[in-house]
This record gives sequence, C-alpha cells and structure tokens, in this order.
Amino acid sequence: MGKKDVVIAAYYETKYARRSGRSVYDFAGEAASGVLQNAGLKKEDIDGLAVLTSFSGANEPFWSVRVCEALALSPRWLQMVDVGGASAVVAVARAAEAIRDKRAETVMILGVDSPTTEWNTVYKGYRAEFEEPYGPMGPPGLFALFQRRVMKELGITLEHLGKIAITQRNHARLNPNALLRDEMTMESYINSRMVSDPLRLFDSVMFCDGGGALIVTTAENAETITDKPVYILGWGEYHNFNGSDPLPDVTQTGFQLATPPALKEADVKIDDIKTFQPYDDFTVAVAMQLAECGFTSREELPKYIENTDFSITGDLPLNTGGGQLSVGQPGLASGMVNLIEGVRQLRGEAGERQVKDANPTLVTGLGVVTLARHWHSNIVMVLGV
Amino acid sequence: MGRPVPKPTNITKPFWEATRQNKLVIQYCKDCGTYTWYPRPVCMKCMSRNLEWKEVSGKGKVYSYTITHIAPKGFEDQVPYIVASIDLDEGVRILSNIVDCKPDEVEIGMRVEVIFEDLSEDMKLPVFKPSK
Ligand SMILES: [Zn+2]
Repeated sequence: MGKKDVVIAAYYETKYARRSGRSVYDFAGEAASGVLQNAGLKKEDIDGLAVLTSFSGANEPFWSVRVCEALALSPRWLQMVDVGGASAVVAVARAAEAIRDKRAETVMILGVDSPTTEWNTVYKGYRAEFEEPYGPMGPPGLFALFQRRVMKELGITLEHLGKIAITQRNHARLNPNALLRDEMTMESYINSRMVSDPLRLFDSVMFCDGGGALIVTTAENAETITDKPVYILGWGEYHNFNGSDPLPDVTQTGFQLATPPALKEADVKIDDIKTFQPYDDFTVAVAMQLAECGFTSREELPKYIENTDFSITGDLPLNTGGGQLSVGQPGLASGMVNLIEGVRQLRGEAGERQVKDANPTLVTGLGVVTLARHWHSNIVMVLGV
Repeated sequence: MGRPVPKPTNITKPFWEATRQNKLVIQYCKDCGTYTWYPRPVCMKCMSRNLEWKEVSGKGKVYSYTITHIAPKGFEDQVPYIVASIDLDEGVRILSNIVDCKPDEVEIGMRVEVIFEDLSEDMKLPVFKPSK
C-alpha cells in the first residue's frame, strides 16, 4: 500500500440528539476534551487545529478563531474547512498536508454542529434571487431533480434506492448511537412520506445535533498514542465539476476525477476495497457513487446494486454504522459520521456490527447542493491499517 | 404565492429590469459566445467580463422536474407544485416553476415557454408553461 507516514491516531464521537438544547460550543468542548482523553494527550500536544464549518456557529467571519479561543488552544496551524459535507474528509487531507510540510505535528480535527437547537445560517450568492423564489424544498427538492434524471438515464428504480436505505437501516439497528433504528421494509420505504416527488422521506437524512473529533499525527508520534493507527493512504478531490458547462450532464460527477488519484496514491485497486463508507445525504448520492467511484460501470449500476450484498457480512459492506440516513445528520459535521465509522471499523472497535476484514476502506465526502446540478465538492480517501 | 422577493445587486439589476417588461435576458459573452446562467461577474466559460445582456426566446425543454409535496415557508398552500430545471434553446439551464400544467402531465423533454408572474408592485418573476 501507499504512504504510511501520517495517521488518524484517535477519534471521539458525541451522542447524537434532536433538539439537544446544547450550544455548538458545548459539543466542541465535549469532542475536543473527549478526543484528547482517548488519545492520552495533553492540550499542549495539539499544535494544529482544523475546524469544520457549521450551521450553528459559522455564520460569522471568525468561526475557527472563536472555537480555538473557546478551547484555549494555541496552535501554530489553524484551518477552517467550509466545503459543506465534504469538510470532514477534506479536513483530514488538509491536516495531512500540513503535517507532511512540517507546519504541525499533531492536529485536532473538530466537526460539531447543533442545527436543531441553533439555526443561524443565512445563505448568500444566487440563492435568494434565482432559487428561493421558486420554492424548491431545500436540498431534498434539488436532489429530487437529480434523482429523477438519474432514474431516467441510468435505469435506477425505487427498489434500488430502497435497497440502500434498508441495508443502512439494518446496520443502524446494530449501532446504539443511531437515531433511526425502527425496521425498514421495501414497503415502508416506498410508502414513506413524499417530500418532493420522486424523493421520499426515507431517501433523505434527518438533522440532529452532535459531531466528533479526530487526532491526525505522524506515524512516529502515534506510537505513543495507540497501537491501532489508521493510515491515510491516499486521497483525491475535485470541486465544481463541469463548473464552466452551462448544460452539464448531471449524472456525471467529480468522483470520476477524485477517485483515480486516491487509489493510485494508496496503491490499491477499487476491487481491493473491503468496506465503503460513502457520504449519504440522499440514497441517490450513494447509488451514484457506486458507479462514479468505479465499483461498477454506469451501464451496469442497476444490476450491480441488485446483485451485490452490501450488508456487514456481504460483498461490500456499505455505511456499516447506518450512515447519516439512519444515524442522523449532525448539520455540517455530517461527514464525521461516515469518516469515524470507517476509522472505528479499521480499528476493530465496531462491536456487534464489526466487519471481519474491513481493510482497506474507502471514505468519501460530498458537499454543497448547487443550482439545478448536484453537489459542489467531492473527496475520496483510502484509509487502511 | 408567498414567493420571497429578490433584492437585485448591481450584477443582477438588468435581469430584473427586463423581466418587468416581460423580457427574458441572459448574460452573453462577446468574446466566446457563451450564455451564462445564473448571472455572474464573469463569463462561466472563459472568465471574460466582456458580457452583454441578450434577450432570449424564452423557449426550452424540461431537463428534470420534481413535484413539491412538502413546501418551504410561504409555499405551503401551493402544494403540489412543479419545480423544474429547464434547458433554454440558447443553451443554459435554469431553475423555475412550470405553471398551467397538472403535476401528472409534466415530463422530461417537454417543450415549455416563459411567462411572467407578478412578484411585487415593480418586480416580475419568469416561470414556464407548456408550449402549445
Ligand atoms: Zn466567454
């Protein structure tokens, strides 16, 4: 495999809750303190801090500074990451870059949000003039446009999307921290409330409060932290795919360009990947990533979904903690759900839902819904032990 | 409809001034001949600022659509209504509503044309209806 010089050495995940009544800073404190404790580090050991954007706290110009100050940290490297749901995995990439460039040695990555308690976001740019006057139901409304086009062009059906939702729900039933654990059947999936036809309630995530933190450091430093380092083997990212095309084919995404460099850097092939933790704000995003990351071709995607066992004991265990679709989506800390589950599986700490051989794993992030397209930012990362 | 009323910027003002006269105008690049949507500070193809507002036909076809059943604030009493992405014949995709059309009659590829709906006393919003 690829480089083994930078690792994820520790993680902490908060409990998720709806309307927790807790400030985003309270979650920041819990996650920061928790990850330090899990790593056995003192706060003076942290010389880098990456803070994910948030709906609750990032509506001011100095968000990462406020968090840094609140935690009374004094790093020599500080970064805010604001590429929406892609921010968690992008933050790991930024931390690894900084560590390789010797700008920091031990970076804390902090992703917390409290959108069901404190919603403080005002969207700028084109939205108020060229989107909101038409009344799409937020991201689900815009993803519904994407879903319809994918269904038509690639032959994806409700049964394909339902299989993804049900598989992940089955995994969530083994995850005590998942908020949605009731049994889901194909019937209950198809009959779930219509939000924005063809997109249903069970195609979509539910907001919650919470998040988590990671410690990214050198392999050398990690020796004193853990005997289970998770190596950051490679990644690729791409932003605003087809951004200069006024009539883009929305069934093509930046994952096509983000995945090959990730696999190459990690020196693995897509068939070597043992577990897949794709960003899952909507079922159609998961379906598309199966093709766009190269597990199958566009043409064979429907058959591939039908014939592949995505369960914990199956061919390609998928979002083994239930993903955001069943855990809940902690605002813009969302990507931490998939990322932390990837790390947990590689460390063999997933309890009842532990996959026998999870290594290596592919974790992805996608971020920010764009006008009549799909999403802006794409990142693919290979993690291994 | 309880549509929010946009506040134009110096970039978007010519667009909203044109809709007031029932005209649909789109930014056109005099250097490379590309139409850009939504209104931007530069041409989306070549980053030129040599842009002009050109009146377009207002005709196009449905690229994708959704029927809104759960609506955002202000739109609740309109459900079910159609939100669509529409490819104008001039070559840009815009988000809009399709009106004068039953939800079960809209389909991908359907021809549509622009009409203008009053937003406020001095603003109009381009929406689309099925072409005859
Ligand atoms: Zn141009």
